Amino acid sequence: MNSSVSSSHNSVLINLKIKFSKLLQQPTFLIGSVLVIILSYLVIAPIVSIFSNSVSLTMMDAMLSGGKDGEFTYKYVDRVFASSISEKIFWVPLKNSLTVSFFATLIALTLGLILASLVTSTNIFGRKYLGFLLIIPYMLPSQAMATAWLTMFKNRKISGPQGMLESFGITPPDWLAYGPLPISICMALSYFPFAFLLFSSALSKIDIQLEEVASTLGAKTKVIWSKIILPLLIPTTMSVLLLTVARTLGTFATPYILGTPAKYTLLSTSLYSSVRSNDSGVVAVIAIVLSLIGVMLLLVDIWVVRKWQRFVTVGGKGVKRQPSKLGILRTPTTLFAWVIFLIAALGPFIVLALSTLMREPGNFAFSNFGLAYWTGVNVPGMDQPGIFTSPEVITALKNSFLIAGSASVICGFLGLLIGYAVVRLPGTLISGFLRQISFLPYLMPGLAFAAAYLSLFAVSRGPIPALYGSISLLILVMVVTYLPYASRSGISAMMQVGPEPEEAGMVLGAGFWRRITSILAPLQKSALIIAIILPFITGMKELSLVVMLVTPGTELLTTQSIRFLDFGYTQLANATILIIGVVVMISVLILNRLTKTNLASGLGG
Amino acid sequence: MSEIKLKSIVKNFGGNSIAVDNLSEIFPDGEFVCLLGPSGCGKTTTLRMIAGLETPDSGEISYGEKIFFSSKNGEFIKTENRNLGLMFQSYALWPHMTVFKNIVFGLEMQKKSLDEKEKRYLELEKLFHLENFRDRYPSELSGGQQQRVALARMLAMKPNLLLLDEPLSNLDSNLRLEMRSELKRLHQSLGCTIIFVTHDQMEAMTLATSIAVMNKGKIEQIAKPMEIYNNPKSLFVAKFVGSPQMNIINSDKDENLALCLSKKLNIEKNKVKNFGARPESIKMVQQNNGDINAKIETIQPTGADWIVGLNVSGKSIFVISSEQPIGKENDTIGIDFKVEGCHSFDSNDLRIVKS
Amino acid sequence: MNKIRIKTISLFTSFFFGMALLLQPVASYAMTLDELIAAAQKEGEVNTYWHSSRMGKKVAKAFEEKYGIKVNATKMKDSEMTERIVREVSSGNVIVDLVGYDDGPFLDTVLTPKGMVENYVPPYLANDIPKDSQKPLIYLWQPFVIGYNSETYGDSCPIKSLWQLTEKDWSGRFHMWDPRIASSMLQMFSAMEDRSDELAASYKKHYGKDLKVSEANAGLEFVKRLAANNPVLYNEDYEIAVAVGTKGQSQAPIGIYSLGRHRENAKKNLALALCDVDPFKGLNQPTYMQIVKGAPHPNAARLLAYYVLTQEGANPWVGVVGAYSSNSSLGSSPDNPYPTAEAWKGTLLVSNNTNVANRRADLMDFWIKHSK
Repeated sequence: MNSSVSSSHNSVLINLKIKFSKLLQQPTFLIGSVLVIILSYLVIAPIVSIFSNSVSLTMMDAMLSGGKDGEFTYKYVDRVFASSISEKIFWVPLKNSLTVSFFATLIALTLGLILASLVTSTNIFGRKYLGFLLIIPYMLPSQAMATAWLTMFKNRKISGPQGMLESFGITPPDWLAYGPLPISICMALSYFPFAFLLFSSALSKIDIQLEEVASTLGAKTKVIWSKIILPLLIPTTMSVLLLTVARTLGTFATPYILGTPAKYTLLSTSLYSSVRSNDSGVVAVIAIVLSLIGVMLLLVDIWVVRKWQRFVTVGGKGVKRQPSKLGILRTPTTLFAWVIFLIAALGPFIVLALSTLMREPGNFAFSNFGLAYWTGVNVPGMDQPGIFTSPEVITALKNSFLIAGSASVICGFLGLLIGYAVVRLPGTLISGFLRQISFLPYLMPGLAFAAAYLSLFAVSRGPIPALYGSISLLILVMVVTYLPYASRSGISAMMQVGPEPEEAGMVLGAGFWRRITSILAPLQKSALIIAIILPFITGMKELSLVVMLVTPGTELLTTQSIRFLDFGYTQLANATILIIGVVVMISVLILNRLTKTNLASGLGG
Repeated sequence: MSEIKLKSIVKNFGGNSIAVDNLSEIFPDGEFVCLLGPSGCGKTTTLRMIAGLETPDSGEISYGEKIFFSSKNGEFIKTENRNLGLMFQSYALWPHMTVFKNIVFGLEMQKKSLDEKEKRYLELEKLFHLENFRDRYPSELSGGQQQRVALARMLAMKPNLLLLDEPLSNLDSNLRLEMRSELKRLHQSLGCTIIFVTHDQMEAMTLATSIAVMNKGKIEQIAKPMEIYNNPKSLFVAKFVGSPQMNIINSDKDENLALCLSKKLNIEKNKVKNFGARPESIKMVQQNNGDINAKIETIQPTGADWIVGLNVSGKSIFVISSEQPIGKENDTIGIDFKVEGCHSFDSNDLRIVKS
Repeated sequence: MNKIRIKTISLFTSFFFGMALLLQPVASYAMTLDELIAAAQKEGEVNTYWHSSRMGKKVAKAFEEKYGIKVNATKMKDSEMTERIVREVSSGNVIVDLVGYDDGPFLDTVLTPKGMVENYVPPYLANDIPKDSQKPLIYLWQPFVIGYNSETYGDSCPIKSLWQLTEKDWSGRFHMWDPRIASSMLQMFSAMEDRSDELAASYKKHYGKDLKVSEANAGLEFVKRLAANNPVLYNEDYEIAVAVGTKGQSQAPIGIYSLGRHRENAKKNLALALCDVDPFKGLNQPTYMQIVKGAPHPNAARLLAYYVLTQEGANPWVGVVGAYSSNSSLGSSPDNPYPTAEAWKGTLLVSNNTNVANRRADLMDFWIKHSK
């Protein structure tokens, strides 16, 4: 009896000893555990705080109504769902959001599918260039499209310089200038490249032999498309559909710019109004609703993917599909594709650029052109310095680079680390937990996440000092928000490498750090570059996440452009957006040059 | 003696089946041991446990005096410190390093001087005909060249124990033959212990000095190749080794043939569950001149010999013959069994050894 | 003997020196202006959140030239300012020193009682500032007025009574601050409740019949009808002024904005004019000036507070149309319709901070509920 106790005690010790020596050989477990702790804090704490905020009395309300700060209350839930104003702040915006999402997604999906088919599988003119050019709208910040629209179509309903059409003597009606129609169109034009990318990659993955078999059996091109290719695209279509809906629901800039003048409120702008009026309890409730919609969409997506899994075909021999001849349709389809490019990518650029070059909108006289908005010391009629002489813009530019830059670097490394831990600890709790938790921020709308961070890190907590008003807060929140992209690419990169290269080093006597530095890191170089540049691009364009966290001195280019817009300095806002667009496009070119990767792989999230 | 000793090794990955089931074996020094078995039989797991890339759930692994692993006292030597060579099926050459860098990596780990690295590299370069490849990257090499680089990398530190995990399976058949003789030559000249994992019985037969046939996490039989071939311990081993496969004759279903074999082997038919007859142990003779008559179904000439499909009272068997078959399809002929190539197995699928 | 004396003296000096050290925080209130300047200069800079961009554009430059102290000024709406003051003070990470703040109700009912701000009346000017503007310190009065486009409508405002803003004619053509963001609008609504009778009387005067009141009072009735008449909302009155005053419009809207916007008529080629409308021409908005608790540059903040109450520092506001300093010794621009804030008398609404504080949440919901 006694001996069995002591031997079992002994075996526990021995077990521990083995575990420990394994840990020394392969400290993945250690890395995983540290990551679990860090991520729990950075991801779960804000989510918990959002939930608790939704049912506890805010400090502001406690001060005003004399309750106790943090006291349990249904006040906000009630206010959002069943009070006299819930229709205005929730139900109508919900309906509007769903309407706009529906139409935007429909247009984006159709455009994406048609353009992807044309570019991957037909001989339209310039298909080589279109593949890249049609992604450009995705690189522009979402307010670019909206402000370009406004610059073009605005009427006297709101103030500021004249719209371009207006200056030609045409007054666009309100329904064309503001509200659901322009919001849907602008969102669709901003998000169709996403559909385009996914469809293109799906089309190029379909085994060409499947089509060849059909044509040997006598099927014509038209039949092949309707009976074979399109059905095979159903899973992709579902994914595009759900993810685009999710994106449009979370978009803030477009409805803010185009919806506000018509009082057309979406959930995202309603959330922002609540933020602006310090109604943080309501913010929490709406944020939860938005997140729940996100979760629901994701679950449906997972279900769809699983259901259609049997459709997934193993890639063929990588033979490129022979572009089919369009014949008489070649010219019109080419025209169509290029017109879309013109409207969605080149159009905004031209409109924005023109507006910053013309003193008076719509006056094409040579003398009316000038660089006042860019280089002027004092822009006429604005009492403001031009972009290049404006200290605000220069600070914002610096901040954008600093914040998006450091966030993306941290994010990239963190993503690879997570990938490493997840892939090397298969089947463990840690692996599953890390995989799930690093994906969670994906479900939270940026505004909601920012709200959570604001309330969580405004005061010092544990080892983390009060971060309010600091650049670190912005970096932190960006890192966490972009983590899903980074960790996903990290995981897939690690999956591709497999354990052998590392094991080969192990056998030859390389210790853990040596394996990481001289084998794994160089192998993952291009994955790392992607994992850094993609968040950088997103960070440069980011608005909804940071719009409530910026403080004087920490403004970013995107928030600065909104500030300009608030003051009616449309041209300065446009110029700022142009700067963002240019920076992002240069980054994309660098990415292409460095890694020779298609954006499709990274943006497909 | 630097023999490898496995003592009651158990490894379970979770799930229904055990990967390695209470395995105890000794692989003597200087042997070229082949772990042979179908996929999922635990052979690669065994190899990886010897390398230290997996840890057994219990048991003990030792190499000479060194205890690699013991669940009794918690002994564990890290892979890095086991000083062995391991070659992967995929070769696992580092794509971001040149041939030179790949090969001298181990020496670098031991902080060897540049001269030493250079010297050793030149030796290996010569040994494996890698001249002119020094600054190439693995992706710029052919499969055979990659394989030789992987071998050179493994041997750079002159390990006494080499572990090879299906190193030939990614090569085409010509190269495979070439590499087989290369490996055999290496083993003879280096005199080190090699443990080689394969599912290809031909490879095992031609290379190994001893073959361990594994099935369901256990070693069914370990012996010299010809011993395995001639005296398989079990039906599994008999079936797994040899190509075309041994003809299996069930004593109940294939009554006529079974009766004929039981007479030939002088054994009671009802003691036997299955008979086995190697294709080359069956000789084709004129009709009615053999032990039993058969009808020719197919004839497949391979160039060197003929594989003939026969039908003996409803049972299809294969015969391999170095001479032209005496008939053509649908002809009836007689067959003779050679006793050396015929075996009987009991209800536990074990070979019945006549006393 | 001598020795003892020296000892006593040194004892005394050290005692007083010690006392001085102990009393130092208190003593700073009693600093002479020169001492304050010296202390402020030692701090080197001062951060402000201000209701008006003139702090950053004009005052900052002059102040830095005069004292060598840098002013970092950010223009901010009061809801954002409130959020920031509360966050900064409760996180202990105070960035801002001095605020120019419009939300009197919140100041009176929360910030001051909770000790989140410090009321500083420059002792050098205490006699010039009326007592009722001292606690908490009001530094500026700004009329927020109803204005129209004089190019479109000529010399007289197209409306005579405020109630006309609730007519279909003006649907979508009244431009104002968003009440969810600018507390001034809630202050205005509350003041309208306070003066319901005058609103009802104006209705009768204009339409010749009694107002049918379906809400608690005529003020609320007006707010309801206004909200339902689709007003256009803004964050910044700069935009309101441009929308109203831009020339060449045939259907120019009416708007409420700060009277100071009239100074931009020439510079920005606008045609803004004051509406003589019954019963109120707008709201007289007091702006408070407070030092935030735990400010990193308290002395520089005090000096700046003093400075904007002097002629030189107040000039960006009082030198042009649309603002009156609380320092009664300072004049105001001759462009103003009245020489002092008091002279507007009843034509401008003035809210009662306590009433606003009590009603603001309800008024806000009321507004949201009835908005179209």
